[in-house]
Amino acid sequence: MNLEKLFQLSIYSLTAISGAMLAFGEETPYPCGLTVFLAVLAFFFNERFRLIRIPLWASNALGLAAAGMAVREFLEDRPDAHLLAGAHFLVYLTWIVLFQDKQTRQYWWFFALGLLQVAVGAVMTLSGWYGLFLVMYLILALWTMAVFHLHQRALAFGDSGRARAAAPADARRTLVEDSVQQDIPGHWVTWRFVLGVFFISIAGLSLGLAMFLVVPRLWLADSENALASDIRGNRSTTGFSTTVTLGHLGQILESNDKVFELRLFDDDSDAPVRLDEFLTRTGQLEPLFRGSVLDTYEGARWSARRPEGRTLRMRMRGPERDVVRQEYAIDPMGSRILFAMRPIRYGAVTIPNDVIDIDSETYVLSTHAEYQERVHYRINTQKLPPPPGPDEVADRNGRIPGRFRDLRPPDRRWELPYLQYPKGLERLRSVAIDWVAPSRLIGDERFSNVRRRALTIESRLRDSGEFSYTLDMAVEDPDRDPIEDFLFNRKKGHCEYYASALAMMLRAVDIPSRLVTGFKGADYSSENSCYEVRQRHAHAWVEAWIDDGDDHDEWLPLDATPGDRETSVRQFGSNGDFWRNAKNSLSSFWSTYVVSMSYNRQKESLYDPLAGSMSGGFESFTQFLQDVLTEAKEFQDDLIPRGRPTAIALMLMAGFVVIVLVAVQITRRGGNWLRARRLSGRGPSPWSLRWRGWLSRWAAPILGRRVVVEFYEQFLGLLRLRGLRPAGHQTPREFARQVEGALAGLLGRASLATLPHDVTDSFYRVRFGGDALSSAEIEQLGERIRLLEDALRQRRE
Amino acid sequence: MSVRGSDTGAAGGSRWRRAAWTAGLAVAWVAIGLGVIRLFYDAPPPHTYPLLASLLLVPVLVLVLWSARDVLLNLPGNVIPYRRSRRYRAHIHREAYIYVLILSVIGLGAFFGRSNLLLLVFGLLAGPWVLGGQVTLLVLNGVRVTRSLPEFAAAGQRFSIRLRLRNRKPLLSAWMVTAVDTVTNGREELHPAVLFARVPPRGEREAQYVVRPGQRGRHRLGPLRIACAFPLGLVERSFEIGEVQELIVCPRIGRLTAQWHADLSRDTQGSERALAQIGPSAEHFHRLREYRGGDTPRAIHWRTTARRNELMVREYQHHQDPEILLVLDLWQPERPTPADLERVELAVSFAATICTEHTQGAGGAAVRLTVSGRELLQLGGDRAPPSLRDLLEHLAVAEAGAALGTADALREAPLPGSGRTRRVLVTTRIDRQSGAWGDPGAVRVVVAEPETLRAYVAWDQADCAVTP
Repeated sequence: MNLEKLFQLSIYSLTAISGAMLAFGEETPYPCGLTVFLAVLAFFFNERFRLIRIPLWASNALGLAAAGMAVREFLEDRPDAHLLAGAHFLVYLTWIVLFQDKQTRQYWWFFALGLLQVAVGAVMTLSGWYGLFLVMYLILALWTMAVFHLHQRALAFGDSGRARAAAPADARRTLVEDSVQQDIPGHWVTWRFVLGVFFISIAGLSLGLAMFLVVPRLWLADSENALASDIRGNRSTTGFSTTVTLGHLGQILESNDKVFELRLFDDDSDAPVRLDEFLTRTGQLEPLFRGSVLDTYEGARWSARRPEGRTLRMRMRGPERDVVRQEYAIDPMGSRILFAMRPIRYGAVTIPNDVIDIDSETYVLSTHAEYQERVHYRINTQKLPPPPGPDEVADRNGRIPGRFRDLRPPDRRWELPYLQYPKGLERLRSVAIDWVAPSRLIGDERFSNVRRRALTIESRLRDSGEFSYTLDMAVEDPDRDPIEDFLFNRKKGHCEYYASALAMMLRAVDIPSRLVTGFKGADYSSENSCYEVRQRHAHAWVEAWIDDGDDHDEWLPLDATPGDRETSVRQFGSNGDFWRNAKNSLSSFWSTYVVSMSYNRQKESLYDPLAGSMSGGFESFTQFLQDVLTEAKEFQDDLIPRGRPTAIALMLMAGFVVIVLVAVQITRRGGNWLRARRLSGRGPSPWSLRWRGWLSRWAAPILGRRVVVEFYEQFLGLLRLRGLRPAGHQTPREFARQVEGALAGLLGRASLATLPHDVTDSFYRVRFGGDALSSAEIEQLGERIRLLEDALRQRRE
Repeated sequence: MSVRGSDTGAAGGSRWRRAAWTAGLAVAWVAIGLGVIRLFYDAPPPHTYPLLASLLLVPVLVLVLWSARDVLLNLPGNVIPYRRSRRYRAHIHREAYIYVLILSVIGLGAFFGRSNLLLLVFGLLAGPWVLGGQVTLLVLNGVRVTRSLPEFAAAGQRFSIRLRLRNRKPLLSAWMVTAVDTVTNGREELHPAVLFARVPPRGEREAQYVVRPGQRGRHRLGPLRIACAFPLGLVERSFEIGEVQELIVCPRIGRLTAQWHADLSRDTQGSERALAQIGPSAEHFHRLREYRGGDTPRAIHWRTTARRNELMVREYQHHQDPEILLVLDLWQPERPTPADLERVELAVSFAATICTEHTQGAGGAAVRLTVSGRELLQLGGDRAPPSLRDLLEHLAVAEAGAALGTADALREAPLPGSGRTRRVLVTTRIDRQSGAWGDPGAVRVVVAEPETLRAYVAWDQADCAVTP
């Protein structure tokens, strides 16, 4: 294919792909996706047929219009308005450049705008597909740059033979003409070039990936504690943070990384307790490990803004009956947060001089200081009551009202945050009120009205079939609040959306509620004899304050997420077919080592193992040196008794020094000498020629019958070093004529013009005529060959 | 014409590479020693380790001393000659700065925005950038370029300079390597270039650029700059081969007209006789001409006669005294005008044409040359006549001036060897009143004026600067 056409095809494809990637990141085809169509249009009608061209003044006017549109988007009241305005501005500029007259500058604009679009797209999504597209885009980008380089060079040297002068045309001026050396003229893109660029691209991207993995994640934002904030930021949905942005949980749910281990014991007897047994006794269907508690919802983000409650210090007591002890082992997260299942009473950590703090308002557990290494802690439950009597009625979740009242009721002064309701969710409020109409309430009529309303909303979201579970983050209406977009447009989402919708609907019907993040579910590891909680168990649910007006008041855990979530979590953890496992592994890798990469993870997976291997190597080396020194000391004692070296000691040392020096020099100099001799064009030395002749004669019976004529071999050797070799089809006479032509000047000056012919004649006499040269002839030929050698050397010098 | 080379710099190997080689060799020795000991002894004999330690320590000591030597030799003011390492230069294009700017924006955005994905984009852009730079260096590494000059070069005539690129790398091709030469002649500086699209591993390719020098004189070729920006084209790395070669470009050479030959013949009494004849007494074939009465029919050239449809005969010529004493009077005023300079060039060019035609013509005339310009120069004199090569070479570098007057120059010229010797004075003096002429005597005087020379010499229009 023509180089210019190939380059144009590459650069327009690159531009189209960058637009498509931005559209993918933005999760809406307009306006970024339009770039694909416009790129195709511009390729044909601007670049190939030259039918559409935007003049400069029109480009400027369109540029101003684009800036105006970007400013308008920038001022919109949307959470991501600033980012989108920037992204769209890039897209508008790309469209303008697509239809401009193309010079080199415009092509570089394509590269710059494309790269920026890809970068902005990366901010907008966390999808693993984007990573794949990114790699493909960059391979194409590197290919395009290499072809562009060829194209530029071809243009610069294109008119080979075009004369250039130091000044305007004048016959007194010197003219020069550049040229191009190509094996096949005009054939720029060869398969070697394609393979070479491909390998360079792969190697470059691998290096880039290595750089990505190695660069320490010491983020510049939140300078008060970059390390901790890093972890909080990345684990925002797993109970470590006081803020959660809707939609960021999806990648965590695809990670199989272990977060903590759990073992349950009877506190009195220390006998292990099974998790299902514990759940049955506490009236729960699934284990819920509480982490953070969030109360304020604003702009698609949950945060904890209420004043902190009084901190209670938990200390262990002696063994108690009917108490289950939860023993956890959690890896450092750069956080103080700890997890536990309700009902909680007290606990302790294994960090010396530390205790577990408990927030008197939310009962969020934390250590006094951030833990930097694996922490073991124990949580004791409340005293477990006897099995429920027949008159105690369980709700649809199997929970008996008021059975556990471990969490403190909301302080009346601070109840307001739990009822805080953002503006703009009016439709949600009216729907919630409609759902809890008296005729639609579910649940045992013995339950209070408040409890039944809460259970009705939870059940409607979870069990009606109207809403489904997905990890797909597609936004249908970006102008709408994500909760309403979920409830009225998409009707599908993951636990964050269900929990947020439930919490807001509860508040809409005046039931105080709060969002709880943590983990739901655990896998039993028979290998470690413990329960393991992994990232994919991350979950969000709601605690609603059910004020029954009697002893049954409680923070009731409500989970509106459909049962499909459990299926998804199980599928991700199970061993499916090859492709599913591969997909899961890739997703896990993407989530763990790309999206959620943190300093601690780098330390754990990269820095520490590297440091370990290096220190191990260093230790081995120092051990070796120590052995050497010990031996040396003994040797010294043998050879130098009482500080007087013996003669043999001195001789040995001198001998070693000489041997090593000579050996190193011979090895180094020998190579250099041979190389220099080969490159300098100096002929082989007489002894080497003699040696070669002897070797050839000796090897002739083995390697084949080849009669060696020494002077002719010497002659050929000299010419070979000048780059002249007889071709396979040439007779010695033909070769002699070629040599006479190639070295005419040199042979003439040295009065050796007839030497090739004479040597060949003599060779024919000896080789084919069976003749023997007289000693005078041999001497004369040798002398002339030496003259030739001298002439060649002088020319070189 | 004559080629002289002078090596003003050498591309040597990196001292660090040499040091690494030595260290590697030392370690290899130790490893071999250890291996041998392990091979033959289950338990190493006593004092094995001290021996190995010596093996290890000596090269280290050598390395230290060697490095110190290199540091000392690199100090400013060092006068001890030694081979310097090849130094690569980087030319960063404007697009590269933009690339780095975008890279920085993305990197900062990643760290401020706490975005791992943005950091991935940063890494994946930075990786090829770093590797691209290394690939460019690798491509240039092991590349050697040599230049071959032509045997002869004259002003106004095109000739080729051959560049041979040898790629000594065992595995990697040399892609898109540009060899940019420097051609200077004191008044101009030009940079002809040759692009080698691909030179395979351990291969070599030859290419050439064309030069048409506008002026005679010494031309310097070099240094050669070998550059490469492959694969990304953002940063160009280059190194210089400091070898400078000198090429002497001869004066412009034209063709003498028939009138020149006729005038010169008149000057020489009875020196020339031309007739159409054939036989052993004929010396040199002169030309083909129409048949005239009295010509022998045996001289008819039948093939040409048939082609032209008229009788044509071969004419042979005897040369009796071919020697020419040429005096070139290159005078110019202290403040020469362009016309003065032009006159000097015309005179030199005319003299070169006379030398060429008369020495290479059918008669093989000997030309002895006396140049009176900035200094007096004599070629020939009492010795054997100079070769054409010598004549042209000296004319190429002759400079105008006022070393002697015309009369003095004629006096300094060698005396005629015989009565048939022709004396020619080519002068740039046009002012007879100045008295600079002196008494030229029996000399054919040619003033280097365009009008005068137009009658005697013709220059090829394509190659000619100024046609007289």
